[in-house]
Amino acid sequence: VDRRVDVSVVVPSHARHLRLRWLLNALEEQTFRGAWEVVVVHDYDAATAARVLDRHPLAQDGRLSHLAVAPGTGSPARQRNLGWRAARGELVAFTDDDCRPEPEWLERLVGAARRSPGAVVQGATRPDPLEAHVLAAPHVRTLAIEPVGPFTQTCNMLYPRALLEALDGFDERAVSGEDVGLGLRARALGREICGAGDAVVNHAIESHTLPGIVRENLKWRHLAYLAKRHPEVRRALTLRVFWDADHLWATVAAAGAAGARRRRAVALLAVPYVLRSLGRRGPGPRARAVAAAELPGQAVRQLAEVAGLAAGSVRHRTLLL
Amino acid sequence: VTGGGRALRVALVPDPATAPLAGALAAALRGAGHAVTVVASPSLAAPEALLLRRGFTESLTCVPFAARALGRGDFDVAHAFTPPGVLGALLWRRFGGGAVVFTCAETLARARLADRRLRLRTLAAAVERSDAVVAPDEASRTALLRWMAVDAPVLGSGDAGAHVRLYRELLAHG
Repeated sequence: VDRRVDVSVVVPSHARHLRLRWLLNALEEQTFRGAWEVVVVHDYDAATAARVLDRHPLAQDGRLSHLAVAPGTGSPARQRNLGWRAARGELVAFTDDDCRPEPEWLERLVGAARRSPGAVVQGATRPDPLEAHVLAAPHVRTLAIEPVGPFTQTCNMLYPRALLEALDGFDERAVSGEDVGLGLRARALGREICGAGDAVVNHAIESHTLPGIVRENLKWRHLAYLAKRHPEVRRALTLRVFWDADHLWATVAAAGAAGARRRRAVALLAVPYVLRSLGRRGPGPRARAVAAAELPGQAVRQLAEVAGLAAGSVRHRTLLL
Repeated sequence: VTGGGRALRVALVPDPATAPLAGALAAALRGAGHAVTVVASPSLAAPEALLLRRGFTESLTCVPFAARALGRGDFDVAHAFTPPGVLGALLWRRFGGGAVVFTCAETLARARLADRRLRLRTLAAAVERSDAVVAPDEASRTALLRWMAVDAPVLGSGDAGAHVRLYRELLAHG
């Protein structure tokens, strides 16, 4: 029986089966009392899927279903599209396998959606306080989003199903930034994006080695595609060209370092970047010493990101650094 | 040897917090006629403090000591009680050692699963790369199932017979 549900939670998952399990545990603790379901789209082998998904209490309740795609064929856009198309809810909430929603998350997200019928809802995302020690690492990946932000990251978004159908879902040609693109297309259709600051998702804080974070962030080179398709996204960028202020100042510093061979004074261009970097761990001599020790690695990382975006810019014939 | 078969050479790899659990198992195994060595794997205080300050998980400095101590002995099985202890045992296995068993002595809770750098990685390696995972009690078993999706048997630390059966089974499967 294809019984409709109030809201479906769609989760794409890749290479994070344990964190996916923890997400399902957090979903199991939701206070939402309506009819809801979880749809996971993953690329795990059958044994892992059986262990992590089929034997989860949500699956045994009939609330969790999952779809497997062949390893290497998934992408966030494709997996989310498969997920929401398989979902039964009139509302579709998206979150990620590296997130831990608070127990009231779904209740509050759906509450906001019901107060603004037809609107898109963005909840709040914060670095997981349970993982705060990891912030001591030089290279971390996490997210902090206070709604409504300029980007509509699907770690904490809700769309009416009818809108997803009208938009034909996520753009599967986008390797990254597909969630931002969907939000921009919803706005272009005149849909309001409402904030639900009390619908909180805690985002994992993952530390990486320098080569690891450079590899991880290479995917952002495809954001040039987003800028090409949706030039309006440039309004949220630094000088409409740089992804963020770090990229701007790292680029200026690199230009200064390169030009210093001919004229030493040009090296002064690196000063803003150095001052900015020395403050990233907060005030005080100890924090500055840590920031100074981390500065070379940060510079390598940011310049690698800029180089990746430059390569993407050439490919998609639009400038984004 | 109680139950027949040759006496097993078992190395137990506890940390100070799990030493009583390992001690009880050592006494039970010795009572059943097996050769048991409790491997000392000390942590280095100064590097450990530095790693903790940089957000790393506890006891990482014991890993090479555990591997070295295991390599010096002639053991059939290394039985560790902490994730860093398992990492040492996995290193030992990689260089020609025997079977690795992990007793998850702590009752896992979400707040501690990824609270520090390398914590998730060491925990996942301990649970997913050991040859067998054991829970010392029902609470630990339930937590292992909930958080790590592993259904581990409960083996009391005084139950030498059940442990020996597990060891022999692992050794039989090579």
